[in-house]
Amino acid sequence: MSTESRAMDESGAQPSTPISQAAADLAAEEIIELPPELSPFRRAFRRFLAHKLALAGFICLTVMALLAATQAIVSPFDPEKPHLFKVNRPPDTVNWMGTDQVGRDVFSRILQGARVSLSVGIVAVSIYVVIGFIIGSISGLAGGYVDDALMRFTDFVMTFPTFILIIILAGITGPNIFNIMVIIGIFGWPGLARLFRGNILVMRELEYVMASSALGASQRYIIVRHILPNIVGPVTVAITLGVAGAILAEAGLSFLGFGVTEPAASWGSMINAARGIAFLAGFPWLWIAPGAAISLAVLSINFMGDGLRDAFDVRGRSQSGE
Amino acid sequence: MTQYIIRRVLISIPLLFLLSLTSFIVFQLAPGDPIQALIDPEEMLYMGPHDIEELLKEYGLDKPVPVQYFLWLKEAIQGNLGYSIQTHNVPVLELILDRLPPTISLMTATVAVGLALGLLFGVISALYQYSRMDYTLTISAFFMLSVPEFFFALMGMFIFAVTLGWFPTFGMWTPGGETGINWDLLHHAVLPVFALAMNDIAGLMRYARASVLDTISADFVTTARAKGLSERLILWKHVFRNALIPIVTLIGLRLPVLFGGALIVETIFRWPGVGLLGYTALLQRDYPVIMGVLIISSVITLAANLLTDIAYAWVDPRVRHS
Repeated sequence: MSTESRAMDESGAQPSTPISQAAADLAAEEIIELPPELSPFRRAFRRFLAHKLALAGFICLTVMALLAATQAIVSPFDPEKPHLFKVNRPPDTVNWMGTDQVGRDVFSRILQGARVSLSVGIVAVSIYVVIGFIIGSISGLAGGYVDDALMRFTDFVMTFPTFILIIILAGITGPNIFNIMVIIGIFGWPGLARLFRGNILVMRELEYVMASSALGASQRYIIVRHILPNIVGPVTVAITLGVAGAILAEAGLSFLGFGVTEPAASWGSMINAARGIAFLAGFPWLWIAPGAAISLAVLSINFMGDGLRDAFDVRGRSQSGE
Repeated sequence: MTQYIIRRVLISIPLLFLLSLTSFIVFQLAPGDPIQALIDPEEMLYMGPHDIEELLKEYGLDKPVPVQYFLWLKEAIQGNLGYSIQTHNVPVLELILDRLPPTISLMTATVAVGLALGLLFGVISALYQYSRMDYTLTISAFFMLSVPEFFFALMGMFIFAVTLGWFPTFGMWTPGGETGINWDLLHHAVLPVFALAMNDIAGLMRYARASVLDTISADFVTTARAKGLSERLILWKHVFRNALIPIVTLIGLRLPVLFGGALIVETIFRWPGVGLLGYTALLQRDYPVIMGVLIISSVITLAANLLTDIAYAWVDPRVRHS
C-alpha cells in the first residue's frame, strides 16, 4: 500500500464510512468566538453545539437510544406476537407502521430492532477499539521489526474483502447476535490501529513527552498521562463512525439472513422477510420502515461524527500524522 | 520503476500465503466433515468404520492438519480449488470463472460511475465552496453514505422498475433474448450499478473536494496565478492534475468493500455473478464453493491493489523513491 493512500486514510480513519469534510468547513463559518480561558474539552463541547447537523444527529440518536432502552415499556404491542386476524395491514392509527406477514406490529418491531442494531454497533466497536489500541500501541512503541510485521498484517486485513469473510463466518457459525458482534468486531480494527500508531509516533517526538521521559516517567505513565488524552479527539471520531459502520454491517448480514433470526427483529432481518416483488410492490411499509430506520440511525451518527471531528479539530492534528 | 514493481510484487507473496492460510482455517472451522458431504447418505448406511477410515486415507484426511494445508495449497496453486458438493462435483474454479465476468463488469461500471460523478461533484463543490450548491451536494453525500446499498437497491426497484416500469427488476438480459454486450445488458445494469455506486460517488466526492481545496491554496498555484496564466489553464494543468490523480489509489482500497456490496446487490437483482454464487453456496452449505469465492475475491483485491500502487508510482515518481 502506498504511503500516500495511507496518509489520506489516516485522516479519514475509517475508509468504509468516510464523512464529509465539507460540512465541517461549512459549519466552521458559524463558529462563535470563544473566550481563551476555556479548557480544550469545554471548547470542543461548545464547537459541537455550534454544529447544527451534529446536534440534530445527537438528539435524534438519543431519542432512538431511549426508545430502544425502554422498548419493553413504550412498545404499543408485543413485537414477537403474531395476530392472524390482521395480517399485512397498511399503516393506520392503531398500527402506526402497519403489520407484517403474521400480523405483528411493525412499529414495535422497529423499536426492538433499534435495540439490536445499537447494541451490535456499540459492542462490536468496543471489541475492535481494544484490539486496535493493543496492536497500534505495540506497533508505535516497539518500532523496528515488530512495527513492520504488525503494519504489514494490518495492511493485509485491510485488503481482505472483509464483508465477504464476515458473511462466510456468520454463515458458518450460525445466525446469532453474539457471533455477529464478535465477527464484526474482529475485522474492524485496522483503521484504529493505524490511528493509535500514527499518533504515538508523532507524540513520542514531542518535547514535553521527551522531557517527561527524561525525568524518569515510565512508558505506561507517558501513554496514560500524555498520549491518550491527546488522541481522545481522533479516537472519538473514529469510534463514532465505526458504530455507524458496524450498524450497516449488521443490517447487511441480517438482510442476507445471516444475522438476527425470527421471531426477534432486527432492521435488516425485517427487510429480509419482506423481500420479493410481491412484498416490495404490495406491502412497501414492511421494508420502507426498517430501511428508513437504518438510514436515519446511520445518518445521525455520521452527522455526530462530523461534528466531533470539527469540535476536536481532528483534521488539523492528524495531518501531521505519519 | 522496475525495482519498485519487483519490490511491490515480492511484498504481495507473503500476503497471498497469509490469505490462503486464513481461508484454510475458516474452512477447518466449518461444521461437518468432508467425507459425509461427499458420500451419498444411503451408501453410508452400508459402510463400516473401516471403509470410512479407508476413504479418509484415500483423501489424505488422516494426515495432521498442517500437512493437509500444504497438500491443499499445492493443489490450489495449480488451480484446483476442489469440487462443488451441490452441483455434482463441478470444479469450483470452473463455476467461479463462469460467474466472474458479470461481477467484474458490474464492479467496473460501478467504479466508472463512482469516479465520474464523484470527481465531478467534488470539483464543483470545491470550486463553489460554501455556495448553496456545495451545501446541497455535501448533505446529499451524507445521505449516500448512510443509506445501505440494499435499501437503495430496493427503493430503485420499487420506484423505477415496479412503479414506473422504466427498468427490468432482475437478471442481466431479458429471458430468451440475445445475450452479449448490448442495450439490453445496459438496461438491466442501470439499477444495480447505481445502487452500488452511491457509496463510491459520495466517498470520492468527499476526497476530491478536500483534495482540490488543498491544492488550490498551494504555493505553486499562487505562483501560476502571479505569472498571469489563465484560470482554465491553472485549473486543468495545475490543480486537477495534482488533486485528482492521488484519488486513483483509493479505488484499490475501495475494492474489498465493493465486493461485499456487490454480493448484496447481486442477490437483490439476481445478477448472476460471483456474489450470488457465494450466497447460494452459503445457503446450501457448499463449503468448497464458498472458499473458492473467498479466495478469488481476495486474490482480485490484492492484484488490484498491486496495480493501483504501480500505476500511482508511475504517475508520481516520489512514491517509488521513498
